Amino acid sequence: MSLLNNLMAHPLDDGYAVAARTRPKQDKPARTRHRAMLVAATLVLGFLLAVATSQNYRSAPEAEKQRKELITRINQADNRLSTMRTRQAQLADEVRRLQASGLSNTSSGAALQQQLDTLELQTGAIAVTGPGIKAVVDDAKDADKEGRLLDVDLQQLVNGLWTAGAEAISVNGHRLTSMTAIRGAGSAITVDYSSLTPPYTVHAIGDNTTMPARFAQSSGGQWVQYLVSNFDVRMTITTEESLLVPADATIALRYAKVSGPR
Amino acid sequence: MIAVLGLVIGVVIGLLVAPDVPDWAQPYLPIAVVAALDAVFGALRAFLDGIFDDKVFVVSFISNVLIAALIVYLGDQLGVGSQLSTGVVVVLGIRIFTNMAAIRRHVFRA
Repeated sequence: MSLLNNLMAHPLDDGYAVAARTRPKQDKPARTRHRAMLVAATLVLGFLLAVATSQNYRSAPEAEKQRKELITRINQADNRLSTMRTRQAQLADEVRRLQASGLSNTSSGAALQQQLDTLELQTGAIAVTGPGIKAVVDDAKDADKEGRLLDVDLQQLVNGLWTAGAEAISVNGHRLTSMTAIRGAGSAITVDYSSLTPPYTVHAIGDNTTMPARFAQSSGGQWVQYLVSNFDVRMTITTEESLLVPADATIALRYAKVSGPR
Repeated sequence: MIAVLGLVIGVVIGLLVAPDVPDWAQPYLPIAVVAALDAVFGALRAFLDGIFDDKVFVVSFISNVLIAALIVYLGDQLGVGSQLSTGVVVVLGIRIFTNMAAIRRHVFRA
């Protein structure tokens, strides 16, 4: 405590007392000089104060501005990505049309075209329509940590739908293929490497009379049902007569090749 | 009264000029301000005690500011910058309060 006591007892620089003791008695004009000095010092102090405060106030909106700028840039990049995706889908359609017209001339070509159609349907290279069910899942209303959907929940939901006999599934417009990953990145769920925002709309094409019941019995369906009843996660399942599941336009094998002669 | 005038003029100049503080100086500016405040309050008290000395004042003002900035700089290099800033602010704060109490006794006789 002696440190604090010392601090309280001698708040003044010792220099003042020493200077007062050693100073000759008779310099009266020093008083004006003292005043000038005090004014100069307070001037500097005021200047420093003002600069520090204004700096503090200026840097706050600066950070906010940078944040806004980043958000705009992210949105722009997102828009660019979606226009490029659309263009890519158009081009893929055109390629497919040209391919079909080229193949339809010969009988062996027509057989090949038929095989191609089946494969494209199954791999998710073209958009498909058909009856099915639409599941909309969302975080709990007070989205604290427990009521938030995770990537594993979405995986379970989708697996449940596959088990229930779905033939084609899309999540928020992203077609699921054999190469689509559903993963968590930070606090967002990514499907096919684009992050999604809740609610998550899952389209599943299949027999819409049996799928809801089979889904409810599947382990994935039970997983989601458990979340609904215990963590207030919201889910609505509706049967639809016609659903559109878009193509995964980017599906391509880059390394895998057919082994040996067919 | 004249000291307050100087303070006001300084604030006005600072607001009008509003110079850009370079990035490296930003953590030291608030500490420097507190150190300067301490020196000024010490001077004010000495002035009222009748032992004010301009040389002591100028030296204490400059050395206060420099040492405070130096301590924070050292702390930054050692990775304890924020803790040392707190320490400097506490010590200077206590000094300012004690000096203010003496000034108050002089001015209000209470």
